Amino acid sequence: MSKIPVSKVVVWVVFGLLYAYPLFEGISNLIALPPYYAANGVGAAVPWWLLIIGVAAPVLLYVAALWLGRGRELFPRTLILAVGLAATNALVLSAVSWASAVQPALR
Amino acid sequence: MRHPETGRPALGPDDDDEALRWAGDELRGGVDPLTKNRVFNAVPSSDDGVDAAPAIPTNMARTAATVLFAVLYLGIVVGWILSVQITGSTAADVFSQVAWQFGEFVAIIAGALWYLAVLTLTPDSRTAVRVGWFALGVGVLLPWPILLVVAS
Repeated sequence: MSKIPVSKVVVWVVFGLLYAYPLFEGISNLIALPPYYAANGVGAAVPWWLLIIGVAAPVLLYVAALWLGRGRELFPRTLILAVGLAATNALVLSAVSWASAVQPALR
Repeated sequence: MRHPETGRPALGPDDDDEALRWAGDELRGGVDPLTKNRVFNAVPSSDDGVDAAPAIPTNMARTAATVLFAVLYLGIVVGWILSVQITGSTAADVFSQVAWQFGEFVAIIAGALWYLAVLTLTPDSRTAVRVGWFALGVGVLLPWPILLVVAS
């Protein structure tokens, strides 16, 4: 097995942490929102697709960025991970705004 | 190598030049009448290499798509700048606030990053591949917070 350069590992770990925060937010929304809606009498209106996007986007974009960056130099690899991170955060903000837009009046 | 029509040895790519040569001149040690009085390559012409340079096809569609998407991505960046004005975190602790601000910041630069990445990483790709990545980015990065406000 070939030796993995330290720079590569550092980039993986740093971006892994940066992707982890939106993932954490997505998971906490997935756990907290359905009971909150249920408690307010709108349990049927939980926007599951938005909650799933919030959890799936960080994971999928991180994996996709690693996959697209394989075999490339450090700079393009880092650039792709940065693009994925930025896209993840944009998607999360979009999901949050959609959730607000489709949220029914709470009882 | 023989000339396809005359059957004589093909001496050069230029048929006009060939008309002034005799087949076998070189073999007899003769002097090519075309070149005997030339000062060969005394001054390298500035045109040297023009024919040898690879022809770069001016792909208008590719250029047009790249410019069109530059405008679209500029719009996306502006859309996100407007979007972060109307989104906000309700979190009280400093870490969540900082993380939220960071998320807003990278959402603003997402369009520019995606465009530059496609531009720099697909120089040799087919036009369809480049356009596909550009189009995917537009779909992913739509600034929904401001679009939803405008639509409502």
